[in-house]
Amino acid sequence: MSPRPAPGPARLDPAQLSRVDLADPALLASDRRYAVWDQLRQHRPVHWQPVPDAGTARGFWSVTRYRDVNRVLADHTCFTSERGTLLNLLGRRDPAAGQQMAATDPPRHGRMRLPVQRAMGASSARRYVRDVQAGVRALLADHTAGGSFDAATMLAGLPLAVVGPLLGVPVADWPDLTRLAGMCTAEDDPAYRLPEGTAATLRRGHRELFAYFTDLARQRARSGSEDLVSLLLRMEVDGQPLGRGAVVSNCYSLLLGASVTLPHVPTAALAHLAGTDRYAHWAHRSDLLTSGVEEALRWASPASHFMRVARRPVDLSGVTVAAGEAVVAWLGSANRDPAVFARPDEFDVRRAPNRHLAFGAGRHYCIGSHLARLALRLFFAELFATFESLTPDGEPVRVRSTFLSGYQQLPLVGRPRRRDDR
Amino acid sequence: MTTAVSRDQRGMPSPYVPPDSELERRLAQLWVARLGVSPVGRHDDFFQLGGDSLLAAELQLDIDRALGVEADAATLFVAPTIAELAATVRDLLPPSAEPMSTVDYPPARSTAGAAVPASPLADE
Repeated sequence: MSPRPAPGPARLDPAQLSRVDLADPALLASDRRYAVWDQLRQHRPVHWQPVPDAGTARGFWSVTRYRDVNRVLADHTCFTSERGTLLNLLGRRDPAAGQQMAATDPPRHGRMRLPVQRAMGASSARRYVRDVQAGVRALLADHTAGGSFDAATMLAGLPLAVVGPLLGVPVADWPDLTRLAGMCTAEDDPAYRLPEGTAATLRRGHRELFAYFTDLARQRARSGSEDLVSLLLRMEVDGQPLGRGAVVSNCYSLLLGASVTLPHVPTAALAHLAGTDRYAHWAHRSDLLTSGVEEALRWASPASHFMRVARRPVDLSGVTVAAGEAVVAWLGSANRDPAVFARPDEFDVRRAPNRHLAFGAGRHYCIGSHLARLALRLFFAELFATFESLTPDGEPVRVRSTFLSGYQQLPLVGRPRRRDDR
Repeated sequence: MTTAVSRDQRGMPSPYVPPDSELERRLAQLWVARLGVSPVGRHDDFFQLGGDSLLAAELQLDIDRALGVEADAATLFVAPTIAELAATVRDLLPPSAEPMSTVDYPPARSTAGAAVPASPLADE
């Protein structure tokens, strides 16, 4: 129940909207979320959700309109990132606050981000073209003969094709890191879930990744190199080097950031396009590769939400959020807002302009966006060169998560392109 | 660490078992300095004592520096007790290195050179 009156006309049964549980992974793992977001955007754009057992918080606000989502993400003077940026940290202390970029506010955030951004920006991203292309080809290599395959399993390897070269992680470690990242982002996926349950899976994945990066940082501290781990170890913020915990935590965050975004953009797009003639249509139009990738990003919105906490009372679409209250900005909803996107439920590879919020907004805009776009363009180009058509081969299975939107299984059959067509 | 909280205040589920070697006592001192919790028993779990992954990465560096060995970080993260850690570290130490003095080793410092936080839970 909202403690404050909901603005706007309540055409829908208000009791129904009050019962909506946006913290329910089952809702977010179904296409029903689009209808719920649609109703919330129309009738209750700033929606209070009580949560029992959420530490010091009593619940959270949800914003679903593009305008509000953009504001909450970009307005760091009103909203802090240092008190948890994901719902699973609601009401709890974030140990990474002030140490991990995503959990640090300006001005310290900017001083921490600048050197890393330089290493991951557009001009630096080009240095990785060959590496990423080789990684993408390796993923598709097993499937060039066509036949049936699980696109979700194949794409699980894509993040390391990017993060591996960036962090200078040996290729031999990629499968392990892919598995650990899976435990941290898709803990409910049978491929990753431990017999002890999802909480144990998350904890184990998180700790093993931290242990891995702790060992890697120690090794790089001994013999520096040109990779990002060495950069994090070398750089200074306000005249002080980063603590080892901050270095390790940023490595962890970069890997998970990539693991969340990269596989699920193609899976969401392919789940929609496979079995239709729109796959072939896009595949034949190399001039639409860039705009199509942007549309895939909007369509997939793999990061469903980010959370902030109000520093002061803030007015959002007529509702006053009190200081200290958590606000969850639903990126997936903003990217389907008809106020900004014409025919938002249509996958339009020509869409322009396409100012989607899949990478967030403001100072915390995804630092890996250049590399992610590069990897996605290379992936789709390679996919189109490999397969003439893709058709569904069974029911896809969505990831169950309040944060990650994507597929844990996407069985497809590929029909290889004839050599002379390539 | 004069402002250390007791392990009982952290609600440790198991009774206190003191460290039983010089190496374990030395490791326990490093934990106390990082966590601001005292005393630390040999079977206490680092994360149950209030540690988090960032502090564990700092502690690993403390251990590297204080003992001059580089133990696999998996022990601290996955089997995070003094007893387990001592068993891992002991295998790496030259035979003559134990027992060690608990008095004359340099205090634990973070990489930033800043003092260890008095209480990592100050803001809770």
